[in-house]
Amino acid sequence: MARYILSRLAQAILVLFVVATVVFGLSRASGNAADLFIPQDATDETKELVRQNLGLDKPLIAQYGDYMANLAQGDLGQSFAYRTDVRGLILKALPNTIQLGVTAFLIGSFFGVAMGVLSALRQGTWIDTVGKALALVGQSVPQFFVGILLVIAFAVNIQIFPPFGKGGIQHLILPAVTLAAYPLASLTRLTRSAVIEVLRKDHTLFEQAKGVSAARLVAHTLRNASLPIVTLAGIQLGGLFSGAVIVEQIFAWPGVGQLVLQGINSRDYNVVQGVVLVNTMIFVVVLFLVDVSYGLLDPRVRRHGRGVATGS
Amino acid sequence: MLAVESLQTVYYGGGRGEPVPAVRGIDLHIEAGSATALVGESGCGKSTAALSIMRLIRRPIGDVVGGSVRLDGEELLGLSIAGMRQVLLNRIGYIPQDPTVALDPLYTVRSQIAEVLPPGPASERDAVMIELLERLGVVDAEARLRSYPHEFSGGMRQRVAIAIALAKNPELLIADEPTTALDVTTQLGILRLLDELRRERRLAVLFVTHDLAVARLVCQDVAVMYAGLVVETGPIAEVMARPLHPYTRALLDADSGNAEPLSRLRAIPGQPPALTALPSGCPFAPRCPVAEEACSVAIPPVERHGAVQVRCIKAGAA
Amino acid sequence: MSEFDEPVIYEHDESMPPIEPGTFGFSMSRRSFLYGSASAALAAFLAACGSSSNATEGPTVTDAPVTTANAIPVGSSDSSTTTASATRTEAKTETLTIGVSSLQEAYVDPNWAVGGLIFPLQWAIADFLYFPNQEGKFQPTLATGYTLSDDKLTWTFKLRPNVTMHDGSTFGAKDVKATIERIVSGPNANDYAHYVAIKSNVTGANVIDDLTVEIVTNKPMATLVVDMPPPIASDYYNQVGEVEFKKNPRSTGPWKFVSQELNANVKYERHEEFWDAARKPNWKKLVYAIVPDESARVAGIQTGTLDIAYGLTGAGAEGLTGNNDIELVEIKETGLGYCMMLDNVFPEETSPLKDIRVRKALLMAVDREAIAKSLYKGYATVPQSGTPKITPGHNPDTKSLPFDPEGAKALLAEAGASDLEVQLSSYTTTTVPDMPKLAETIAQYWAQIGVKATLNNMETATYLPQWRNKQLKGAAMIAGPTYFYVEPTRLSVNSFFGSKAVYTTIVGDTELDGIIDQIIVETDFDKRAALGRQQADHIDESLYGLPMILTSSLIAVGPNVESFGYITSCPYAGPTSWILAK
Ligand SMILES: Nc1ncnc2c1ncn2[C@@H]1O[C@H](COP(=O)(O)OP(=O)(O)OP(=O)(O)O)[C@@H](O)[C@H]1O
Ligand SMILES: [Mg+2]
Repeated sequence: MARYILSRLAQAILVLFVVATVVFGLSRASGNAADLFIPQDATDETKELVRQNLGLDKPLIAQYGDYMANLAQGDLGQSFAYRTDVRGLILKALPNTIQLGVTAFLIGSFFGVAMGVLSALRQGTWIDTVGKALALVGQSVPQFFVGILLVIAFAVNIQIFPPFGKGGIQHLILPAVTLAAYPLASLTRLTRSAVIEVLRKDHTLFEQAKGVSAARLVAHTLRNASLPIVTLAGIQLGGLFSGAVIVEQIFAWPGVGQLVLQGINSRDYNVVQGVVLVNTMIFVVVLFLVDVSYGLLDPRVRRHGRGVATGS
Repeated sequence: MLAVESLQTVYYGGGRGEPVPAVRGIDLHIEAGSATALVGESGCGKSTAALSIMRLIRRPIGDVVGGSVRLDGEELLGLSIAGMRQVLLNRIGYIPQDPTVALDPLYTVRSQIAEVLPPGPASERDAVMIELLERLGVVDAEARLRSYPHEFSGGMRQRVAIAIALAKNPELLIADEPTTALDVTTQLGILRLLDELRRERRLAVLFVTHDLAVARLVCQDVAVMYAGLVVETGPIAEVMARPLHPYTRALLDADSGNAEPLSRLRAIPGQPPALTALPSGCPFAPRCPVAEEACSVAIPPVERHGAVQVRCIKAGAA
Repeated sequence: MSEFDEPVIYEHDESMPPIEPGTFGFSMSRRSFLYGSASAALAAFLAACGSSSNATEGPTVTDAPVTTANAIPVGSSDSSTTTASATRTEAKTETLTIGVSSLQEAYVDPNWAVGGLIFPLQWAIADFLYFPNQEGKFQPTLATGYTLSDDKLTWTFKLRPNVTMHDGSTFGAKDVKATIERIVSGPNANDYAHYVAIKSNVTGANVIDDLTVEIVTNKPMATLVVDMPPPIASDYYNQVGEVEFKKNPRSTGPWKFVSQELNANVKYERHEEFWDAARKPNWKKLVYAIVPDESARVAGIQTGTLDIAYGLTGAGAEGLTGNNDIELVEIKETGLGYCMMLDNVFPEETSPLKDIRVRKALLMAVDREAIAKSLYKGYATVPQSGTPKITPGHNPDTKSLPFDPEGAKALLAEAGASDLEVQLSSYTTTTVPDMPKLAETIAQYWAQIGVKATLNNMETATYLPQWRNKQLKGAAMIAGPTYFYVEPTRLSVNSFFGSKAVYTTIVGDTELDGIIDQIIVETDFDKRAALGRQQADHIDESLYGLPMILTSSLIAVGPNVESFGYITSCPYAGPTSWILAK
C-alpha cells in the first residue's frame, strides 16, 4: 500500500510540473508580457525598467527557472489588474470556493448516490422513472438557467433564501444546490448503472443465498459499485472548483470563479495562470485521493494497480 | 425434509418484460441424510429450480408464480423477506455453480465466512472457520483467512464457498454443479467430502448436475429435468438401470457413449425447445424417437412405476 | 497588443475602465457579454411570467431632479462654500446597500483604484479640492480657491479650514503635499502609474502655511484642478506606512472605511464630522455589494437585499415590471455612439468619405429617432452635436441634420458617389449597448439611399488596437463615455479628434489641431470653454464623426431611498451626495 501511494504521489507531482510548464509556455507564447504592465505612453526607459523588474530581459530559459523557483515557493506572481500578489488573491477567494464546492459536492454525492441506489433497487418502478428523468434534466439544463430559476422561485417569489451574497448557511443553499445539480444528476445515472451491474453479479446472488442482512447486502453492493462512483465523484469534486464560475457570477459569490472570470475579462494573465495552477493542484490532490481510495476499497488494486479493478 | 410441489417459476425475459416459464410445476422430495440429483441438459431449468427453492428469483428478474416449498413442514413461499433471510442464514446451505465469481472480491475470506456464523467472540469464530477450512483441505487455513478471493485458486475458492455453505450447519444443502469448474482430481475430492458430510450431519442434499455418472457417485435419488419439467424421478440405481423416459435413456446413452462425461447430448438430434415457444404436449416429443401423435396433445401426467415416477405415455417403450 | 492601447474606450460597467492613457483597460469579452444579456433577458422573462397576477403597472421611470447648487465657476478664487448648508433630516433607514457589477480592486484606497472603479471608491472615502456639482461643473470643495503664477507653472491653492479627517486630524496643506509626493516621487510612486497626467507634469508640492499649498508643474497644465488626486490623511499615513494604509485608508470623504471583502462588498460608516452639511449622508452605513450578474442585481432589488442597483439594461429593467416600490431612474446621455469616417485617417488616399457632402448624406439617411425608440426601447435620444452637454464648450444651439433620405440621395448624386460602397466596422461595448445591431440598422438605412455597406463586426480586443494602428478603413462605430468628457481635451487629445488623438479619425486638419494646441496650454477656464466651443463647432461642421445615438443608463432604486440625485451623464455608482435615505 505504501509503495502504491508513493507511486501515485510521484505521478501527481509530475502532472503538476507538466501543467506548470505548459502554462509558462502559453503565457510567453501569447505575446510580450511586458506590454501588459507598461502604460502605452511610457518612455522607453520606463519600459526597460519594468522589463528588468519583471525579469523579462533575461533569456527564456532563465525566466523559466525563475518561474519554477517562485512556484516552488508558492509565489504565483503579481496580478496586473489588482496590482497585488496573485497568491494573496487566491488565498482570499479559495476558502469561499471550497466552502461552496464542498457543500455542493456533499449535496450532489449524497443525493446522487442515494437516488442512484434507490433507482437501481427499484428498477422499473415509478421511482426509477422519476430518478432517470431528473438525472436527464439535471445533466442537460444549463447552470445559469437552474440558478436563475432557483433565485426567482426561492428568493424573489417565496422569499426564504437571499438572492445572492455570502453570509450564513441560508446564503449557501441556493448556489450550492445550483452547483450540485450537474454532479447530482451524473452521479445518479452512474450509481444506478453501477449498482445494477453489481446486482447482476454472481457474488451478489451468493450473498443473498447466504441470508445476510439487508444492510450488509447494500454494503457489499455499494462497495463493489464504488470504484466508478468514487472516480466520477472525484472528477466532479475537482470540477466543482473550476466549474463554479457561472454559479459564483450569478450568486455574487466571492470565490476563485469570479476571480478567474475577471482575470479573463481584464486579461490578467497571472491571475488566470495562478487559478489554473491551483485548480490543477486541487484536481491532482483529489485524483490522488481517489487513487488512494481505490487501494482502500479494492484489495486487488493494492497489488496490481488500477487496471484490474475496472477489469472485473 | 424438503418437499417441493408443483413449483412454477417465470423469468420476465420476454419482449417488454413478458413472463417466460422456466420451471413449470416440479415435485421434489428429499429426506434428511439423503441426496437427490437434479440432472438435465443445459438450460432445462435446474439452477432456476434450485434458486426458486431459496426464493432468490425475484422481481424484476423473475418470480415464483405457483406451487409450494416446505422445509421440515414449514412453507417457505409464504415467508416474509426477513423470515426467508433467517431460513437462508440458518438452515439452507448453497454452493454456487461457479466458485471463481461467487465470492465478493473486495472482502477477506474471513469476513465472508463470518457473515453466516452466529455472533460470538472473534477467537471462537476464527477457530470454527479454521477447523472447517482445514477439514475441507485448505492448508495453513489460519493465515489464509486474511486473504482475499483473488489470492486463491479456483479449487480453493470453491472450498471457501463450501465452507460458507456448511459453516451455518444447514439442514438442506443445495449444490449447483459444485465441481463443474474444477479439474478432475479436485472434483473427486470435493464429491467425496460432500458425501461424507451428508452422512455425518444427516444433510438433505439437492445436487444439481449435468452428469448422471457424477450423480450416481453421491446421490440416492435422481430427478431428470427437461424444459422446466421433471420427466422422471426415483432411486438413482433403478432409474439408471431401467430408464423409463426416452429422454433419460438418451441421456444415459450420450453419457456412456462419450469419454467426456459432462458434454452436451450430441447423441440426441435436435435442440431443446425455446422457453418462449414451448410445444403444448410433451416437450421432448419433437426429438423423441418413439413419439406418436398423442404425445403432442397434452403434457403427459405423472405415472408411477414402482418407486419411479415418469411423465411419459409410452414409458419404457423402445 | 496590450490593453494599454485602449485608453479611452472604457466602459460604464464598473469593472471596466481607464480614463487616462496608461491606466489599465478591461473590456468584457464578447462571450461574457452575450451570456450576461442572455441571462438578463431570461430573468426578465421568467419574472414576468411569475408575476402576471400582479399589477401590470411598471416601475415609474424618472429623471431624478437635478438640484442646481450655487454654481461657482472654477477659477474664481476665494469662494468659500459650495452650497447653502441646509442640514438634512436623519433617515430611519440605517444602511443602504448599493449593488454594482464590479469593484475589482485589492484596496479601496482613494489613490489606488483605476478606471471606472475609481469613481465610486474615491467618492465614498475621499473629497477633492474641486468637485463637480450635479451639472458636472467643478466647484471648490476642499479648496476655497487658487491662484496661478504668471509663468503658469505654480498653482497656489487656498484650503478650507476646520475640515476634520477620518483619523481626527485637521485637513491642511501637509495632506495635499503628502498625497502628491505619494504619487509623484514617493518610494511607492510606481504603484500609481494611472495618474499619468499628474506624474508627467507635476514636479512637487510645497506647504506655504497650514491652509496654503503650492503645486509646481514643469509645463503649463491646464487640467490640474480636474486631475488633482484626492488628499489622504497624512499623519495617519506617516504613522502606519504605505502597506497598512492601503488596507485601512483614511481620508476626508463622507464615508469612513470599515471593511472590505474582496469581490464581495465594501462597507463604510458615516464620517460624522464631514465638513459639508449639504453633502453629508442622512443615513449611517453604506455597503457596496459586488453583484456581477445583472439578473442577480434585479433579484436583489426585488427582494430588498439591495436598495440601489446600478448598471441595468432595458431587458433587465423589464424584470421589475409590476413592482410599484421600485423606481427606475434613467440617467440620460451616458454613452455617445459615433459612426466615424476613418478614411480621413489616410490623407494620401482618395476616398468618397472625404467629401463633406457624402458624410452629411450618410448622417441624413439614418432615422435616429426611430432607432432610439425601437432598438433602445426609448432609453436613448438623438444627439444634436458630436460634443456632449457635459463638455465645456458644448454648443446648445447646434442642430443636427434632420432625417432626410431624399436630400441624402441628392447630396450623394451631387458628390458623384451614388453607388458608394463602404465597410462599416463595429464591436461590443457596455458603454453603448447593442453596438453591432446599431451598425446593422445604420447599414439598412444606408442601403435605402443606394449605399452598400459591408458589416465587419470584431472582437473588442482586436478592434481597438486595429483602430489605434490605423488599420481600419471606411466607417467604424465607437462608443464615448460622456462623463469622461468633463474636459474638452479628453474628447479630442485623449480620444478621437485631431491628429494627435489616441483613436484619431482625422489627420492633418490644421484648423482643428490649432484649436487643440491652444486648449492644451490654456489655464483660464473661461477661455478654455470658449476654445472648447470652437472645437465643438469644428467637430460638428466637419462631421468626421457622425453622432448617432445618446444612450441612457438605468438604475433601480428601492423603497428605502427617499430621493435619488446624481451628476448628469454619470452612470457610476455615486457619489452619494445627492441620495437621501428614507
Ligand atoms: N435471468 C434470466 N432471465 C431470463 N431467462 C433466464 C434467466 N436466467 C435463466 N434464464 C433462462 O431460463 C432457463 C433455465 O435456466 P437455468 O439457468 O435454470 O438452466 P440450467 O438448467 O441451470 O442450465 P445450466 O446447466 O447451463 O446451468 C434457460 O432457458 C435460461 O435461458
Ligand atoms: Mg445452472
